[in-house]
Amino acid sequence: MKNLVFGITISAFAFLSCKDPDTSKEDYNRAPMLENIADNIIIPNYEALQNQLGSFQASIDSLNTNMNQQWLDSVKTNWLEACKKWQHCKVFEFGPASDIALRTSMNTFPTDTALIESNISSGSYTLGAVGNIQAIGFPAFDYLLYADSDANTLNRVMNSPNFRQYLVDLADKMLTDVNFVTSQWNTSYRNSFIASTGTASGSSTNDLYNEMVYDLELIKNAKYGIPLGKDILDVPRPTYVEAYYSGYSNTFALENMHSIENVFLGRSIAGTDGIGFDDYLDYCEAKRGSQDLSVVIKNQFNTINTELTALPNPLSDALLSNYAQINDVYFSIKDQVLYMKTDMSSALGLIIEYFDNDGD
Amino acid sequence: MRHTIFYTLVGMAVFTASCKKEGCMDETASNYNHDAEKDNGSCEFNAPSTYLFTDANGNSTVSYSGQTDRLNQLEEMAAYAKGANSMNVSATVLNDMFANTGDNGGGNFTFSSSKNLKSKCFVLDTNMLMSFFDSIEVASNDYTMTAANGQAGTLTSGTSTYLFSANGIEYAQLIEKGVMGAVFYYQMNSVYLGDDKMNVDNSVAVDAAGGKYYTVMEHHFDEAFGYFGVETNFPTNTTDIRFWGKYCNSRNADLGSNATLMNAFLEGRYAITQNDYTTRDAQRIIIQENMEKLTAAQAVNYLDQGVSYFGTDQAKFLHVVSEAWAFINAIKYSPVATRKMNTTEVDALLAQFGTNFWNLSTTDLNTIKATLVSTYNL
Repeated sequence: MKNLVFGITISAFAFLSCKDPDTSKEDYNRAPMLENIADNIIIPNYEALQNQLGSFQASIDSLNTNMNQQWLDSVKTNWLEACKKWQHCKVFEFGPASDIALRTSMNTFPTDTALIESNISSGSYTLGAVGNIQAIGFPAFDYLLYADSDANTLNRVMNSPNFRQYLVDLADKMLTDVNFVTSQWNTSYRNSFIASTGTASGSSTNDLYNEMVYDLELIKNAKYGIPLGKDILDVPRPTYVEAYYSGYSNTFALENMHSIENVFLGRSIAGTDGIGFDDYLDYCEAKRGSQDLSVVIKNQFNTINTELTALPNPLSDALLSNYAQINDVYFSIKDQVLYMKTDMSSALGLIIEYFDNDGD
Repeated sequence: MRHTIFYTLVGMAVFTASCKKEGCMDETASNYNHDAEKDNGSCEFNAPSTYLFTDANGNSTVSYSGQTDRLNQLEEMAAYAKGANSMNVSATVLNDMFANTGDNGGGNFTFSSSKNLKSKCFVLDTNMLMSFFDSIEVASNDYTMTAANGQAGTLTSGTSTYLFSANGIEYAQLIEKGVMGAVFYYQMNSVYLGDDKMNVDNSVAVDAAGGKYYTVMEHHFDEAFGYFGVETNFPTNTTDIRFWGKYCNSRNADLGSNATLMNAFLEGRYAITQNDYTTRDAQRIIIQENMEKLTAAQAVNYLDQGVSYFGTDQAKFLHVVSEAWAFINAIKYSPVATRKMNTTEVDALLAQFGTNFWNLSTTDLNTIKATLVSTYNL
């Protein structure tokens, strides 16, 4: 009898909740959410990246007149800031970004140092080629600027025209790609993004949702899972971390986590809370157990951010000295994937359209 | 009860309004009117819904066993070529299969047939395909290696393992789709549906005593259908589909290609039985134009996949780009009268792939795609 009452309660709840495609979830007005995310998050973040990459490129271009420590310091600082800005854009891999495969072009790691060296020594390469995907982007600079001592790096800069040219060409390509995506958003794509208010495959809400979850899984797998060796019986692979040579792995992971959190909350680049997926979930009265699903996800972001902040640096060393601590972060992110992938998709009626290829 | 009375009254009113009911009195017409007492010339004849046609005595007039043999031959050839991901393959074996040496592909086919693929190609295409056989043999020498730019070998994605040449080309795809284009597509659209094969006798059976109840024209049209790779009850049956039939079904969601192409085959073949050559010609143009569009759309689909695999899955990237190249190559076999791209334009588009697929960028793929999208309104 108790079970029966429970069953009735559940079905009554299901009827009232968003799980029924004919009820409120379809009524939710997604336009303000899309507008907020486009105007206050996506476009400003691309513009910030564009500006910072512009400074980075300018600092590299000044090397012919200033081949000194000051030059190297300024290039490194600009690279670090640009890479942080990039972490806030990589989640938007749909529309113009996916047309040119921006995410893989900017940040495929680990980088192929042998291929980079062969490109430099030959002086002949097509940086946009699929065969060069592991020889370009931020990871290539991580190697070129940080693998050796500053003195040796400067020595190479001064003595190798091919090396200098490779730095220039890499930075130019990154800026060209980001210019393209930013200009697409600033012209036609913004309006078509906002106008696509449905939830079907190919709609803006579905694109955004899919990429948000996919990018979260990339943090879990690429930034931590593969280095932790989750697919090879937990044998760590220190050289597979992001930013292996500079050691900024955890810094970038934290920025990336913030960017996903910002999209979820609808939080602007200036830190102002706006309409996001949390409001959408609340409108649909989405629950996990007795708690609001939006609260569960927010709390989990807080947990992950605290854990990421506490990780020892560099990650490549910590994998050997503090494996369990990193492993805990991995599982915290994994929980968040469950909430955002499984619970959210059923609450909002959105469909995960990508397949997990990492075999984890 | 009230309804029954109402309908009865209306029916009676209509019936009594005319003294002799007029309508189509031919039982084989689609609008045959059982109640008609006077034929008013309104009969309409519709094609059957399956590719089954008979003569006045009920004998089947449909025959395309030669095409089925060639489809079977390519199936075994393609399977052999794809085996290059785990063994050395031989250009000699592929040549024997292609030419059907000794009626059994030099002992490499599981069946015998008097038909072969090679004699159905132009010399230039024969040379192209034979160069692919040589290339896959060379690449397969390195099947134990991991493929990289400048290194032949295999790459795996999920459960699929592909062999690539040192230039990142999957020759197994170029061979299979190459024959699909140079033989199946070319023979269907440019040969059997061409004027020379259609302006033939349609009055007498080729050899009724020998079981060939079809006219020459009927047979030519059936041979075109035989290269489509579907069963007579397509698209109800989308399970037993091969080659072009398979890709027609793949693109059906975007193009509605299943009904368009099958209806054109049914209507065109039916028109031949009715000596209605205006309809036949309209239908063969539908087939020719839509086969070309389907081929372009499949290439675009692979190019889109290429962009999405760019940098994330090299195996799939090189695989789908090889497919895209081969589908674009097939466009060149389109009939001169209906084609949207001539052979020079197709070659120019193929040239944009370059000779080394490892050097392709998203810009390259998007540029190639843009040409197809605008040419075919995709």
